[in-house]
Amino acid sequence: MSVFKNPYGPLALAIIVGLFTFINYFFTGIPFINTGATYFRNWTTIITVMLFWVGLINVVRYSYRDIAKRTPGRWYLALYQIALIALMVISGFAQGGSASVGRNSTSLIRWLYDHFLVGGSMSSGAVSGLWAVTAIYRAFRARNFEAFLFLLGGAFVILRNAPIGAMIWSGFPTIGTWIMGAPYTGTFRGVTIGVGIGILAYAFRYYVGKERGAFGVID
Amino acid sequence: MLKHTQSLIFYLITWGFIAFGCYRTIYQKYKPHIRKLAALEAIDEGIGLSVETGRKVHCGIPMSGFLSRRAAEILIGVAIMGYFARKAAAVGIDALYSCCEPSILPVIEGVTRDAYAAEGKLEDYENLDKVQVRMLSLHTAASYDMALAGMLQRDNIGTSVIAGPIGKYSLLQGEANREANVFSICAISENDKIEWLIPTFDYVLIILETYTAGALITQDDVQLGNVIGVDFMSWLMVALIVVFFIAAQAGVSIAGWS
Repeated sequence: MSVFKNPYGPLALAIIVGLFTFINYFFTGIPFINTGATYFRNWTTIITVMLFWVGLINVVRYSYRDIAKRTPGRWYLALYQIALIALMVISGFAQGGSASVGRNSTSLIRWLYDHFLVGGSMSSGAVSGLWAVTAIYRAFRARNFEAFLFLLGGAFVILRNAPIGAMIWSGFPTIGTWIMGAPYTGTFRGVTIGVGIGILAYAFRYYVGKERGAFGVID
Repeated sequence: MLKHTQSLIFYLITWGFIAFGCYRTIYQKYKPHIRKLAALEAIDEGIGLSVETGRKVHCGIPMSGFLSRRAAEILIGVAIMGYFARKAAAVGIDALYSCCEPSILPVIEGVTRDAYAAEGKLEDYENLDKVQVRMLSLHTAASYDMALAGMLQRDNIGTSVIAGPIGKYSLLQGEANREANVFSICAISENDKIEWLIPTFDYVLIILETYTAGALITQDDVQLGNVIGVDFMSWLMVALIVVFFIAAQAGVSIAGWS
């Protein structure tokens, strides 16, 4: 089997890179390790930038497929998507350089970013706000005791943040603040400790070569 | 020369417990009892449900890339996706796999391909009418969630799993799943928005369950030893919290902490 197709090759490489980064984080004065870790970090950035092209090809591939098959309800949106991608790429290359993407730049790519990407993103966020309201309603339904506690805690925190809470009863902000300061913070920190232990356990499996799922090794 | 010494001590204690757990499982042949994870079993249930109703299945990694601090969570999400892909490949159901960032794309393409190859279904994987691996969005996690919400409706998806780093907009995912009548499973690996995801998804793997799911799947000795070590460390942390709580109430400072 080719070394490039063998999943143990990338796994070994990942372990070596991981060990370099780990040792570099905890130990100073080992020039070989420090330089190696810096190189690996730079390579990661370069590889990630190269992968933008992979993402671009993936998006164009599926959009083109919809256009070629005239998929009902989709092909014209796919065409629009490809046109916008082409416009961004061409304007980026034509007016390249960091000056063209600066906040005060008058370049086309900056204008497209501000008015298409940011505008569109904010709009989709606003539309999704309506869904958030119905989701919160469903989340707050007291289907069992735990959900009732969730509803109770949420109600006090809402009444703490909304000015009307203090107008109704001055105790609402006090209870809401206590919920945020004591049970919420305590639980959140407990969960955070759990996450830390979980990641360390994952790191252990990773360094001993037992966490292989992400490298395509089928156990 | 050492730096970040306190973190290193925490690392070494945790790994010491895990090494002890591995010693127990490998050399003393101890098999710890691990309770069944409902969300993990729900993956089979969801795929079966979609097969019966003739709908597709989906698995995605909703946010972040390998350059972020959440790379470890992404790898966990990818591993769950590999497990899901293998289950989907085995029954030959139409499947969609998605991510939010191009740096993850080649990895999930590789893992899903290997899963189909392991099941002898490589021809299914090559057929774009049957299996697709898509990058849905680059700009924000919100864009991914909106794109996925649309995909759930358009592609007639019956079961959807999201795993790895999950942002606040995934609350919308819960709602989008309900709108499209999708059987939804979520694997949380961080404490972000955990309070929203639990009530809005059908099944949830919660943090340490996500990290230890591999042990249940593989029954591998090292993975099982890992679970023992994590349990010991968790109990140690609980004990330390209790001790420090009592000390703080008594006005005593331990090792400079109060």
